[in-house]
Amino acid sequence: MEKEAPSLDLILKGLWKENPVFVQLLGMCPLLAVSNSVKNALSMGLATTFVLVFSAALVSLLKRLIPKEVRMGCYILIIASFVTIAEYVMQAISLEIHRSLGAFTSLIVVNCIILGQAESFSSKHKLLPSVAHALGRGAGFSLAILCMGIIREVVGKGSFFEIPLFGEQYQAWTLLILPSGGFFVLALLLMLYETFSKESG
Amino acid sequence: MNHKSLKMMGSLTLISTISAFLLQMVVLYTQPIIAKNQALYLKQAIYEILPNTASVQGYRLQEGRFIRSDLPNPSVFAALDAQKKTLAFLFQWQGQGYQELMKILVAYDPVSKKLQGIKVLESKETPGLGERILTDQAFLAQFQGLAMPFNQERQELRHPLQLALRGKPKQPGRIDGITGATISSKAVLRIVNQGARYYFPLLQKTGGGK
Repeated sequence: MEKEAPSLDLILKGLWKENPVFVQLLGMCPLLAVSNSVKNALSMGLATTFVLVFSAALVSLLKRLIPKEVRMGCYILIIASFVTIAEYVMQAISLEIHRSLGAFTSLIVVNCIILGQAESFSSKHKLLPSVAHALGRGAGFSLAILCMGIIREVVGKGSFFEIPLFGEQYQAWTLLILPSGGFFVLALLLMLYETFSKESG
Repeated sequence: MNHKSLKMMGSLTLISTISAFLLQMVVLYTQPIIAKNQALYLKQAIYEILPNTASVQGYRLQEGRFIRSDLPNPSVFAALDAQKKTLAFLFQWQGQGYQELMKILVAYDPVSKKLQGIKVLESKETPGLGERILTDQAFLAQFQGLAMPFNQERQELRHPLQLALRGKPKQPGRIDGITGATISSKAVLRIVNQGARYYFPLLQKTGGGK
């Protein structure tokens, strides 16, 4: 039991207390760009979590073999491999999702959450804590992008997962699914997060 | 060469090897599924434009005319009905949309010289505005049965597609655009025109040859 407790704690930390999006404001590019529908947000969250967990595992396993001078190159190489794998798998599952995410699937490579994970955690910790930490941060990112996706699609398009929610008369607030809407929703979520974490802390 | 740089090269080589191995496995496994998905997506688009399609025949360009071909990725498709009669030929053309490339599937009947419909296969138009070129039925319906003759002597479309002018009587080749999606509507017309200039003369040779 003693061994498992820190792992669970690591996961929960990434999900809420040290949420990479709400606290550290990392990974803003995919967060703002592909959160215009629940489907896109969910696929991006899952793909990022996949890359995060597997790259963290490999970095942690190979940490003794990676010299300090070329560590960035090594991390990027590992991350890019898993991003390409994620891209192929996504295409095999659904071409439609791959099309709607566009270039942002490949751009997972430059997501700071992943490189930050490799540099500041996985390169110093063992396999299990590394994976737990990565899982928590992946879940934290997914939570944030999913919140954005739900708000933006429900209000901006009047649907959830492409299922229309309101009647024909609903006047969709299109602004929210446009790029600028992403900033408004992000601001709203950050405000809510601040309020909630102050109250609970 | 000292010990340090050897170690650096060694570790990079090792990681590259692991990456290459992993990628190769994934590509081997997913490539056939992806190819199948892509073919399926295209076929669905063909059925969407021409619901009476019973089967699809691929065609390939050879010596200035299209011949039947069963190889994968043909350049042109013919949609056949249950009696094996050709309903229309379908080709794809790509061009610049509002911000990104747009790819359109065009159905054309070279015998009646009429468009049978279009479908935007790939696009990244503005959500809620330009994106309506994908869903606006009134806009898309105008392409069904639209006469689009090709002048063989001048090697030009007789009536290239253009947006209709407000308050003027409708002329051949004029299409009503979508309010709030003017640039995307224009892009669709431009891409269809470009594709038509290339494919129509070839298809008229193919369709008229039988």
